Amino acid sequence: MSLEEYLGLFIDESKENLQVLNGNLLKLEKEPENTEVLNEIFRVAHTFKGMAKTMGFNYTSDLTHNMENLLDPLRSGKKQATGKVVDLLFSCLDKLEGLVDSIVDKGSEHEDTSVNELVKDLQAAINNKETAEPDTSACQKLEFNEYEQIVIQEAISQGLNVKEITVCISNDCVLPGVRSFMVNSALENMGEIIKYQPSVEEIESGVFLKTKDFDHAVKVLLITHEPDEHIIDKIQDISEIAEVEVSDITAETQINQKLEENNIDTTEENQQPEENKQEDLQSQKAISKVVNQTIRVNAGRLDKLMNLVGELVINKTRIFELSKGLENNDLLNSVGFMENITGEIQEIVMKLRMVQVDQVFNRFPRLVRDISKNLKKEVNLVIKGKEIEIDRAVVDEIGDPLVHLIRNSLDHGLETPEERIRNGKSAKGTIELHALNEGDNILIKVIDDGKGIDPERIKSKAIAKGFITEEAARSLDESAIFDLVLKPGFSTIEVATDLSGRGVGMDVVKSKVSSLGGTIDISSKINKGTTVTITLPSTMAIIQALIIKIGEEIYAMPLNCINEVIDITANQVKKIQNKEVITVREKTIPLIRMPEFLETPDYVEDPEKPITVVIVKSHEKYLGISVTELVGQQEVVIKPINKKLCSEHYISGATTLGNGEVALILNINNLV
Amino acid sequence: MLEDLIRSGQKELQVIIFKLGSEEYAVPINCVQEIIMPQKATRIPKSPKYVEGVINLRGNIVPVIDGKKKFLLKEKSSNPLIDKRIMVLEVENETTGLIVDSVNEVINLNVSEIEPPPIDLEENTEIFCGIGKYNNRLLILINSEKFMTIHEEAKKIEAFSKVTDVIKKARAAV
Repeated sequence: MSLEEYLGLFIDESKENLQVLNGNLLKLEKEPENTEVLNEIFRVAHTFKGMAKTMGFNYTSDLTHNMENLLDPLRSGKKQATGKVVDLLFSCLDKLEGLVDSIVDKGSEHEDTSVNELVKDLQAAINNKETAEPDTSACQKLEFNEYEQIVIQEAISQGLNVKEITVCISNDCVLPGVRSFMVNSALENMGEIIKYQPSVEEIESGVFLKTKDFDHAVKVLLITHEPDEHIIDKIQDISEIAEVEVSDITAETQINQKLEENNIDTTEENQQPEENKQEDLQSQKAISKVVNQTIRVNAGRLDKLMNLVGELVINKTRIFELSKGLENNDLLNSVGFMENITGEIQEIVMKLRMVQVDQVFNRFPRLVRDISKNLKKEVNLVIKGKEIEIDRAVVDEIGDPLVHLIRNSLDHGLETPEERIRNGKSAKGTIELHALNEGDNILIKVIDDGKGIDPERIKSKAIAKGFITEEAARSLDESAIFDLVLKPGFSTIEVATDLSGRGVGMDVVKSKVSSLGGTIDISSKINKGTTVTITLPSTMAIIQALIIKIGEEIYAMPLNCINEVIDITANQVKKIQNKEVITVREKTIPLIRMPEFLETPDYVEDPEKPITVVIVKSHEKYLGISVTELVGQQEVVIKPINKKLCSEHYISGATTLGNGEVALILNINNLV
Repeated sequence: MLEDLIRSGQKELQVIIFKLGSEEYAVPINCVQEIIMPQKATRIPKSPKYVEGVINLRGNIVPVIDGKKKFLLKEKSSNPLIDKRIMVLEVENETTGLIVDSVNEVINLNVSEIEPPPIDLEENTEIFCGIGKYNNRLLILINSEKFMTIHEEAKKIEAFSKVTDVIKKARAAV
């Protein structure tokens, strides 16, 4: 068995578990006594440990093992999850993330001595608890139910010996379960076993009693004639047994136990809910089994399938056209049927690529928590619309820009609590992360109720930096001013902090968003807050496009940014500041002559012919694009194109047409 | 690359021989995905001159580069046009087509018969692995990884034509 094979699985599951851990730790911070959350955290740590041990990642398993030890008393209510403990768990989470990252990069853990320090911290925290709660041995005592007590009494009255045997299995034993079964069968030959603790089922699922020194211990109640030494010898014969202890159970011990029971009724009560909890947990598991009817699929295969379906769609169109020429009704029928099926396949494959935007959003609560602690600001993060689905390719890319926006909001947007109160606001600021569908697009908004952006400051800054002249600044409207923020090298904060303000932020955000085919808008009111809206196409893979001819070359334009198509005569084109513009319904729109712009070879313009102009809209701005001929509207599959080939960003990809030729897709957002 | 090859202890290197102009070049066979007939490529506006465009290779968009244009080899091919091929190379997970004048054969080149590039090219040797000798033929062995980088540096191209010249002289001497 090669562990390499399982590495991918390990990484996937670990990442999932880290997310669960993150979410639950945040919950724990708010409700430190929520045992359900604690149980979930424990479960994750346990799974982690198991997986890491299997894969031989010792740091990870060591760390999670100690986390488990810390969590155990927490969930049984013996210790409170104080802020300190939660912080410790958070740093464990960070460390785990680091370890998993290095596993992703190199396939192995990096040598990290800081793990040991963290483990020491954990152990210190654990010990701290144990001094406070010395009574951990209580759970180690055998408890007898009524039936067992009768059997014990009966045995004693018949002159038989009842022994309580404690067997500790050595810590480095790989299969403690097997050893415990060997203990069981050895004892069976010597008498009658009344009670075996933990039960067979528990042992199968890896639950053992714990003692001070040993992780795996079992207790057995045996009715026997054999002398103690004999029993010890027999058990010691089994390998990997570290310690054996035999004590007699007399009528007296029983009475003691009874007394104990009467005195502390609560023990039983305590036991009860725990059992219930276990049942709850089991039923939860059963539910999740029903819900999680999913399988993992290699992303590469999904892309390939996507690609093939794209080809299928294109060929379907081609067959459809061919069959129309043949006028054979049977053929037309079956082609029509095929069209339906391919349409459905396409839809399903498209959906396969969609993931919930939650995958990006779920890292933000932690981010906001850390940064706001750091900045000593009080923040309430509101996340809306996390169930909105978005193309996988977008999810991978959009995280970093959002991180930047949120940091900006925290650092520059929100004020300190004192300032807020002075301005008549609540001390606690709000940052809202909001995803919503709008037509074919998906909007992601980052809204804060902070101090807002001062347009005058932006203006003077832009003039000082030489982005615009003073004259030009005067004629700018508000949204144009905010657009200045997106320019490279623009930063209004005088002192760069480690969070933001280095002037490399917003333009990077903008270029990332536009590389995804999206746009970004800023609106802001002083003292009311700032809203940054990112508009993204909901799918990156298949779009409705207008197919046009420029010269003899065919191009595609995404339909969602086309406003209208008009024919104009050459004398309708005017010049303003040496740039060509046209007037459409009293609006002046710049015109780009595409054949010239794209350096189309062998193109001669006929000045007599009317010019076909496609009016496109992006960023609330209009642009006229002159084209030679409109070919038609069609669904096209966007395929990536080697970015190095088109250093300018006005081509967003390519697609194959029905005849097998390649058409380039124009990136309208970057033309405007 | 040549050092790596010698170090690996491999005795033979299987290469594909192709022609640009009148010279014979060779690339290791494992980086050639396939060889296809030339087809009409879609021009990419404002791309470098040597980029012929993109073609549709079974649904994948593959950029095609004209080998002679890229390396400023002016001379005419000694082969008829019908011999033109596109060699589809897979380099660093990017598939790129290279237009060559002809693809001749696949041979096993003795590693001991490969010599390092004959002139001092300063740091620009990385395009070439060396000169391969095979039955009195001199083959310019190409390191496809460096060769296919789309953003070329003028120096590399210069080096390329230098090597081609040197080979010519060497052949004349033989």
